[in-house]
Amino acid sequence: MKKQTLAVTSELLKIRHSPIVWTTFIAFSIGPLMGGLIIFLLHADSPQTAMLTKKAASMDVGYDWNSYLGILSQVVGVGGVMVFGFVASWLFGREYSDKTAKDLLALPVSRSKILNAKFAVYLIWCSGLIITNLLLGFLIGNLLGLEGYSHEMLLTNLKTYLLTAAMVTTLGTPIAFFALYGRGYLAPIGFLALALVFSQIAGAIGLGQYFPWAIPGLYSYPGAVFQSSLTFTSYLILVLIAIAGFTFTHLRWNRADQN
Amino acid sequence: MEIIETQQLSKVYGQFTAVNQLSLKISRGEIYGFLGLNGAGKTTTMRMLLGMIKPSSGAAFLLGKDVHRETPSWEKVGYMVESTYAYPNLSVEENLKIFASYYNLKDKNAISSIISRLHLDPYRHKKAKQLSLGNLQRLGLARALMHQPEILILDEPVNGLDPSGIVEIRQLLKSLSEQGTTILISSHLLSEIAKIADTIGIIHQGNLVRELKSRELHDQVLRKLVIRTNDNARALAILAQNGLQGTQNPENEIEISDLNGISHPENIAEILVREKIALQQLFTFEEDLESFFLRTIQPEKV
Repeated sequence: MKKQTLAVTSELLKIRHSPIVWTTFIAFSIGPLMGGLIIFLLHADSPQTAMLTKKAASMDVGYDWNSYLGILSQVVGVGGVMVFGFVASWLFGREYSDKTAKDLLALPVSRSKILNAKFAVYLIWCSGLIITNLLLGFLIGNLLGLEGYSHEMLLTNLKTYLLTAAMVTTLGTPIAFFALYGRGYLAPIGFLALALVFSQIAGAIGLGQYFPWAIPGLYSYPGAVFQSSLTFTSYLILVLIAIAGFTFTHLRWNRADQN
Repeated sequence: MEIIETQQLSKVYGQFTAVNQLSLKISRGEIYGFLGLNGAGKTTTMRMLLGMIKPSSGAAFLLGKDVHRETPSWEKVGYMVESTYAYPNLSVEENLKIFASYYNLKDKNAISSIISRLHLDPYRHKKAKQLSLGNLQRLGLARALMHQPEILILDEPVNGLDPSGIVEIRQLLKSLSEQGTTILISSHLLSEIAKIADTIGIIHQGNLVRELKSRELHDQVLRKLVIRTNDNARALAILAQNGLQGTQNPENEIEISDLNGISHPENIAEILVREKIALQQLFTFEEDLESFFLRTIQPEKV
């Protein structure tokens, strides 16, 4: 356990001063900011925003906490796939891009522990993004003076938000594998782009519930419109993909030749 | 017990044999210089010794443990493979802190001490991406040495260093060796290896073609007496009568490889002058280390 802690400490030291950390926080915070702006504009009593107001009515987006927290969950379900995927690409690919991977292979801390430490930092990083977005959302909601607050509504939305975030976080493991397989950022980012394209296609042809990268988006859709389409198989696919990603990342890191 | 050992170690990539049945033994406190051209198999061998690449056959041992079947005591091993790279946004000190954590170094002065030892004090807080190649190389060495390993595996450690840096690192490695550290060092420069290594292994196209002690190196290089006269044919005959066999080379010079002749060129001059043969040139040629190296790996081309 001590060596695992040492490995996590080292991984945390590595992300110090990395501009990428703050970049992801800024990028992810665009979601709640834009969500707040949209809610504000949709309900502004101004002739310039009349079209938006009409659209708001059709989207059933009210000037209330339920709508805004729904947007936050969607931001995690769709934007999170991108941002968390980017975090995983960077965390696991940087050692190859910076050419430091070879320095991690013959240390008193085992390779598995180093990889687990990377996964731990990935979890910490994603948790940070999830929590800050939520806190930012509360701040913006308060500033906007949103209506319709109740404990029940909050708990329902928090459950959706956190479960969506958990689902998106698990999707980082296959990205980690592609970072190791492709020895850098390019392969995982390419894979991520493809996954996003295919999740759109899968959604369009009605198979989104079986495509891992589409599942969080469907789950978090406001009003739980698509939650009923998600079955046990959908969640099982998600879990299996996460386990497969984790396992193959370990196999790759431990067994492949590191030329 | 050998500290570093390989037994019939091979690595094959498809049709290409990177390392071919390489066996070597390195004792405690020995500096073993691994010499070869780029792509000769030095780095692949080192990577196999460090468990980064699985051998196609054979075995690699560190401190008696098979690297690919048991877990060696990596805390006793320091290494630097190929060029040094570091975390670019972190300072020299922060880069070292990462590895101090991996090695669980208790000594709070370990980082300061190695920074001073490698003269990195002025760059302590400088980001790695702003370091010169030479200072980056020093950082790599600091990382390899900071936990005072028993074994050091260094791939081209003086690359990028200026002449004073090269001397400094040479002295540092020699002092470590005197304290019992076993060092495997690679280079493509025989002159550099000759100054530091106790044993030299010459590797070419994956094969260990020659292994010799540094002190034997002097006896291995070619030495000959080169003479030019106004009548080479008669000079050759006269030298033969005096028990000195010579040959004429394409440059119209007489070459004598006889040790007696090489040791006493003044005797040859005296014989020839006595016979009224005018000497136009007489000198002792000693093959330089690079020629010796090239002759060893590519005898047909020399």
